[in-house]
Amino acid sequence: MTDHYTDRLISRYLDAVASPEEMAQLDEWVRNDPAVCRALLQMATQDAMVQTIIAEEAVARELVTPGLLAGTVVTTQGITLRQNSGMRLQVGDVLRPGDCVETGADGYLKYAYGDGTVIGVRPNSECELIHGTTLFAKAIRIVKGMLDATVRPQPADAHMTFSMPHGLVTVMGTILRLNTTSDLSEVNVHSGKVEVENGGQRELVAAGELAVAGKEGLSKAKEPELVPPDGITAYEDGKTLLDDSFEHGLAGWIQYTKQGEGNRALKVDAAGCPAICLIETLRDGQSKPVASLTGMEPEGTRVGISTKPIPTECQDFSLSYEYTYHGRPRLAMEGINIDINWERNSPPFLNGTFKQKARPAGEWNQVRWECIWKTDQQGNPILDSHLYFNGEFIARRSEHGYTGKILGLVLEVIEGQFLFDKVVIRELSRVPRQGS
Amino acid sequence: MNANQDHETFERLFLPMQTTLRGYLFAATRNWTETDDLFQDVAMVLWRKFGEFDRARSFHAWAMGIARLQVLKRRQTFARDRLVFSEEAIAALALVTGDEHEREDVRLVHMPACLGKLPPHERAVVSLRFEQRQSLAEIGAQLQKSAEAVGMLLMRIRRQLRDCVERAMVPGKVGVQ
Repeated sequence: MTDHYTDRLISRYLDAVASPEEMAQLDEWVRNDPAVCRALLQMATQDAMVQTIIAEEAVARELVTPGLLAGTVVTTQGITLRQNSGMRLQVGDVLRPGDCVETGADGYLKYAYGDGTVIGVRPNSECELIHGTTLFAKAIRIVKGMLDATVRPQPADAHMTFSMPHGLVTVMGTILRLNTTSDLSEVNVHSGKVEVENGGQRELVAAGELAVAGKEGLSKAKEPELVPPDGITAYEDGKTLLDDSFEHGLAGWIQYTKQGEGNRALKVDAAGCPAICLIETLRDGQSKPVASLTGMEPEGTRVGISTKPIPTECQDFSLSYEYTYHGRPRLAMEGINIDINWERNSPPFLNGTFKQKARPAGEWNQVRWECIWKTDQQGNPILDSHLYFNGEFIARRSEHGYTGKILGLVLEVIEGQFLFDKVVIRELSRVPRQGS
Repeated sequence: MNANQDHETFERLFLPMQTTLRGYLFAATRNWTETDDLFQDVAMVLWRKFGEFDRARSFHAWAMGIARLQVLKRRQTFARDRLVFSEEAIAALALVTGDEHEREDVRLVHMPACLGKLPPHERAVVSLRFEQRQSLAEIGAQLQKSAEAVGMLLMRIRRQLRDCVERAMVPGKVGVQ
């Protein structure tokens, strides 16, 4: 058995970092000392064995269940490239270890593994699927940008890992966001727990916590308090306001539709006219809605739902709304869909999807709906609607001859869970209907 | 002896020494690409010259002699851009392979289990170094460690693996403890 210094010298030689002096020393020992000579040969042979075994495992990985380590692209928008080939990625393409994904400024890609683990690659990001620490472990190397991940529980010996420029993240089963810049790597955990390692320091990061790794080391904190934009009052409650009891009514609110798996509600003003409408939607395939809406009532008013009918005089007004939301990463990733509904049980009138335009989690987004009543030359009513998202025009629709009443906005999540942190809605205008 | 018999005999003699041969080539070159290329060259030369091999002699010694000559031949190329062992050291290494090569196959049997015992972060370093063939500096940049620290960690891993295999090879013991 060789001593520590000899082992270190041999190891440095094999790792190609030995200095000329160290090289000369080792050369002399190899020539003159059979024990050192054998030790070097043994360690080099051991390296060769390890290399062979790992290479064989890599081949085996290619042969094991593809769904385990390979993912299928389920969504693409904008420019999304398989970097290795420079080819654009399309829905249905399979990504395997060794594949690099790059998204352009308007690019977004989502892929899913066979076990339901889903990875979203946000705009201006680059990542590589790599081999994990064990045969069945998923692993991703994030070169730059932001990823959102919903990781299903993995086998105990096959933790999924995310290798970032400033740390290594080991996951069991959780929803998280990973963001990396030239200076920092951030891990934001929405549910579950992950372990983050940076320079030998390790931290368990739990739901609602944010870990930041950089040259200064690793730090962990609660997510920062969100401050709404000027002129907006935030009503943060974090409670589930609309659960099954919503269907039975809450004081001050009126339920105006109940269709499919969702519940919808409308807040009415003192006269019983629709003042603000904000609605939960999905049940996410479960028996109960998963919506967790935050408050949106003007300060000092009650929140609730009533079964009071909407008075007919309310038809004489059109309403414009603006709402501002701060979305969890997944929401920002998946976007939202805005439906404008006109009356009870009406189909969506105008909708827009803002997947690529959403600002990163941590920033506020603004949706603005404006509607203007007009009359055409024959005196028939026209309703002109515009949708804006973060100040950008999204969609317009003019409805001729429509005499129904406006009930408000429906905020609807297209897929996945309803993950708002905060939603703020304010009424912009209440315009008397022309000719009324 | 016909060609088929020759081939079978060659395989019977060559296969058991493959691990040692790769180890020797890596010890002499410390470069995986050179090792892979040289391994192919040596195997080809051995097969071509197998007809000249005196069956009364040790195949291992004969093969290592050829391997040493191939290393020296190639050494002239790679000596230009990196530090290399002297001819005497390369010869000394070839000589000691004869002492070890039978044990290497036994070591190989135990190595996967010993690799499996490494904690995840060490296994990740092994993967970066031996599978992705990254330099210590590249690994260090990924893990926020200095190249020196990665080198120390790799040395500890090598020692752990060596000790683990040695323990598993103790007569009377079964498997990796």
